[in-house]
Amino acid sequence: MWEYEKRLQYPVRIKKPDARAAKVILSQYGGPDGELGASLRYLSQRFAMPDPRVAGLLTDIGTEELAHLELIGAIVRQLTRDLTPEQIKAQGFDAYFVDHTVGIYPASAAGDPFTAAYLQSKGDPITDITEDMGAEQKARTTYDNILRLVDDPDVIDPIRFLREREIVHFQRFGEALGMVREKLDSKNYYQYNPAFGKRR
Amino acid sequence: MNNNLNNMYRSDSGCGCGNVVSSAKNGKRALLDEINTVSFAADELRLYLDTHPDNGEALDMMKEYLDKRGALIERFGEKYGALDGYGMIYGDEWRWNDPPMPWSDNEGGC
Repeated sequence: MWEYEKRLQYPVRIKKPDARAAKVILSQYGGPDGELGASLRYLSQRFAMPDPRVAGLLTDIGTEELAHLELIGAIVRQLTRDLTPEQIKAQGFDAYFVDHTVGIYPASAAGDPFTAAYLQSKGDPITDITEDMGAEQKARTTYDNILRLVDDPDVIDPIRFLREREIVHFQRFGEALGMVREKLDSKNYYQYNPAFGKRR
Repeated sequence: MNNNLNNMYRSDSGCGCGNVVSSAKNGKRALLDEINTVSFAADELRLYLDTHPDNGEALDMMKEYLDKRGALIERFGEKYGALDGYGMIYGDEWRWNDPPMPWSDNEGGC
């Protein structure tokens, strides 16, 4: 189960609304490499993960991703406060606004709604952890791109925090891949799937 | 009342403090920042210990941060309301509603 703690993992204190920035940052809420996909990916994969240490890591990183989802929601919320209809039009937020007003909806920057097709749960430890390492790098690249597009230090600060977490998670998943391999035949890691069937 | 329609999607709950952060607010923010800092150290150590469970140094650091965190959360709860979803009663009072939602104007914006 989960317990809620009534605070953000990292403070978000944005003074100036900016709908244009909100639109691109929203992609990390419900976009292809966003935090919703990340949390669902790890929290789903863990059920078939035979090594309990790695299943624990997936649980803990998946849980942190939920906190990151909340952080992105907070950033977008604070960036879209107190906007006038004129600003909404001028800052290119009108297409989002007409469907969601300034509610938070999981979609990509291009407006595609969130889909589970953004993630995989393959039921093979090597495959899943390798996907996770790629996913962390894709999210890191997305944050790098966001940092190329925003200039407000109040926005840059929490985005940098989130970017750094992707790098740490990548590192931990790399160690997890080593843990998975430890229990396999080093002459042929693919001899059998430890999450399905028996060692021959 | 033209403004009313426009204001439906605007936050009218502004904290009204302008750019000046009052000292009471400052104290609350400083305590929250301290909780966030110590909690983050624990978040980071949790993941590290998941893949390095035998690292005694990390384990000792974790114990230290968890002790600090517990005390700070308790102090915040007594003064400003509950952060912990299983520790929301102080004395005979329901304090879970007291802290504003963490993305709200009161917590973040000003």
